[in-house]
Amino acid sequence: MFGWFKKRKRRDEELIETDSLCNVADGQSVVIKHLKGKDHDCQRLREMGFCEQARVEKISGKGTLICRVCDSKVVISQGLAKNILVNTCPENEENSMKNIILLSELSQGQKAIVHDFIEENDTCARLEEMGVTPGEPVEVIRYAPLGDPIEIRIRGYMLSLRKEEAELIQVEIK
Amino acid sequence: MSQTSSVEHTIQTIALAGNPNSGKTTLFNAFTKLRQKVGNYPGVTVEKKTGTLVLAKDRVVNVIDLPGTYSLAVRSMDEQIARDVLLGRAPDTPKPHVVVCVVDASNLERNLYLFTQIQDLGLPIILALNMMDEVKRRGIEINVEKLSQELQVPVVPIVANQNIGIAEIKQLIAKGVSAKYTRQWRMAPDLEEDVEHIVRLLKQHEQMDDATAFSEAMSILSIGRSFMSGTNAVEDFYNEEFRFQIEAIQEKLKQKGLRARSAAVEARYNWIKSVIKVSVKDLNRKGSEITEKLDAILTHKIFGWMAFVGIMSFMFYLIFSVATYPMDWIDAVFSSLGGSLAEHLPPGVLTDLLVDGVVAGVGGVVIFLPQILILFFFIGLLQDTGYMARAAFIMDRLMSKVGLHGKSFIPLLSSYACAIPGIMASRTIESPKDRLVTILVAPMMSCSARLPVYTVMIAALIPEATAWQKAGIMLALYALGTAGVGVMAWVFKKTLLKRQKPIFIMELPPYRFPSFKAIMLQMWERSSLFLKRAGTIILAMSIILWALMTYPKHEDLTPHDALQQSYAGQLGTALEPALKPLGYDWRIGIGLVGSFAAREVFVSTMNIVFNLDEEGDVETLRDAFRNAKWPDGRPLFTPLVCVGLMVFFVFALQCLSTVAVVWRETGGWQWPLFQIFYLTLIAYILALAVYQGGRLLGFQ
Repeated sequence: MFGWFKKRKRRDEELIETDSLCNVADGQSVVIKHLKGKDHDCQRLREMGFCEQARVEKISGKGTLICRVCDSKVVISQGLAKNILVNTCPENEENSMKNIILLSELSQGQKAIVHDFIEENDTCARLEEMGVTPGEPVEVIRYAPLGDPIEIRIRGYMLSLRKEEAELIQVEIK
Repeated sequence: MSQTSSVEHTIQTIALAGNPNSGKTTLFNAFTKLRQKVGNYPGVTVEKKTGTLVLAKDRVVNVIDLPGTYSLAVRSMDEQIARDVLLGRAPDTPKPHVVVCVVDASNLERNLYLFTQIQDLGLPIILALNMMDEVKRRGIEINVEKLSQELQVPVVPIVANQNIGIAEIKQLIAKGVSAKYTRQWRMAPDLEEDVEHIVRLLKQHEQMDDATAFSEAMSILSIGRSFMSGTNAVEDFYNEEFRFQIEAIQEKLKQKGLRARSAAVEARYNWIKSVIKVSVKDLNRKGSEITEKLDAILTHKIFGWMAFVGIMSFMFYLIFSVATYPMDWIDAVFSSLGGSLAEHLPPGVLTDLLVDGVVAGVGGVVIFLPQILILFFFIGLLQDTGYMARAAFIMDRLMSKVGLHGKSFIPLLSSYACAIPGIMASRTIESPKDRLVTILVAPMMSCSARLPVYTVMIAALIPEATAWQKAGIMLALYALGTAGVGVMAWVFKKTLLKRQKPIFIMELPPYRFPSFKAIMLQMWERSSLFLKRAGTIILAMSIILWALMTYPKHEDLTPHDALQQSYAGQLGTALEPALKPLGYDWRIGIGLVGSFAAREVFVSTMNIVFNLDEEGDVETLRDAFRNAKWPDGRPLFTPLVCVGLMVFFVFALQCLSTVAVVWRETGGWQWPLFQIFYLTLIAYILALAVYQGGRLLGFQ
């Protein structure tokens, strides 16, 4: 009886957690909000790039999942995937998808938060070193009279970059 | 690490490090006054500034002003030099005993990034918080003690351009600084482990100390791509086995999805943020209000252009026309000097050498000074105030169309007056590749020395030309040169320097009041460098050219025949077969050889060649041109030859001084030689195309 209850409870848990990575549709991209389960497992997941706030794209799979995280494809078992709780709420997802745009798409005076770089190269490295790192607020001060380059404010100072470079930076608008 | 007492008497070299615009050079000037030396780091075009600082009567230390960089990650020549000097790896440069890290206190967050990288190197650091006056003005409060405690280094608030705080830094240097420091920022545990692993390897195989090994490990990991294919000099330092191990670690990190580069950057910035949080109060993120207001006008869609055109025209007017007055005086002084020398010395070879070789040669060097001084006054003003970055901001779109940088505009514009100051001004361009392309194409901008040649050739082409015709042709020639600049810049970016992805990430510093002392110092420095380095080469080359045109000497002959018999004349004659397809005979050949001294010399050489008074006016020379014939009676200066010759002069690098300056600025002979070659080739091909193409089309 006790055993059945335990079993029941575990199944309940599995059922309740609709926001686990297992339930994400193929091709959908989500943000990890929480890791649960054993500490050891969580740490392992974090090491693989499945840390809180990380963006994960589920590529395919029903039991064992193929995901893209931090630019690399990773296969994880269902047992682990169910411990990864993500933001899959449709409105949220749509919103967060909509809110991520390129820095070059911001209009004059618009503020945003640096989200990520669309590729990894020397230019991005230079931008990061200049302080354009994920999570930093950024503001487009103005476009040059000919429309390019762009002047932005980051970490309290002014930086100008060409559109080419601004197109490498994803930002999140509020 | 607590060897403070032993450090005390061993400080011999200090290095100044900091971001561009942090006031590092101002501090360097305050330290060294005029006891400065400017040279180049061996083999590269990065400028090496050193000087001496007097700490006490009997205590003098060397100061190295490192190139201003935002980072020590080896991605540019400047960064590499800064890093190598700090690690004691740069040849001929001792490892600094103390680093004075200069930061703009009004922009602490980003400025401290470089500081964290320097701190990794394990050198004793003094942090100089510069521009404290601006900090106060903006209502920011910095708790210096707290900052010093958090950063674990002595911190000195200074205002470098008002000499505030300099004495305190000197005291600290004299007293000695300890290098004690424990790293406060941490990355993901996995990464830290790998860094430790590499540190162990480095210590084992390369006998590096802890600090060096750590910063080296960070650099290796943060290069972020295969070590083997890296273009950085790092790979020269390690053997294959070590590189394989590194690659394995990088591969492992990649599989885990960890980005070492971002992780390190973020960890540093997070730490900086936490430090600032506890030591800086009321951080006003709005920036300077004056700057906002000025920028609203100076980068405005309409007013911005007006201001830009206004400032540039004024500068150009000064170099192009006002500079001619002092240039005329210099000319007059040197020719009267030559005249009186010739009068008072006994006639002979030595007198000739002195008068026509040395005095004329020195005059030919000094003549450039007014333009260089005016241009560098402006450049200093524009850079010190912060407008230079705005000018580049405005112009970048246009310049980037042909692959140039917004900052290439001023060097190219000044090249309309003279390529010498123009090429020297290309120093303001940070990226070495952009700088090189700018230097390579700059001589195609028609300089003022071409004007006399154009004038004579236009007169020969259309004897009774109206002012409009003259202006039209002149404009066409200027346009041709400018188009050449665009085309060749584009070609170079696509071919020679194509692997370099253009990066345009430029700080727009707040507007500041310029320091005229610093500007004067820069003008003095640039001119003395020009005189010392380029000047000596120019002098040597002009003496050689003079000798070529004078020897072997024939006292009994007329100047015309003597010139024909000289080496230069023989060279011109020897060139005739090559010049014939262009429609030129040996006489024009001599003119071309002679014009290497300076383009306008073409006119005076032609005067001699055509047996005219050396100071003949345009009309007499024009008539001589019109009467000039080939031995078979055909006219020499047909319209096609005139046009071809003008086109030749637009492109050909007929200027020893330019060659010398390019040599000095690029730090070797390969670029100036390449430049002579490609420009002469273009000039020859285009002049050939004009002449032969024109003849095919039935022109004369």
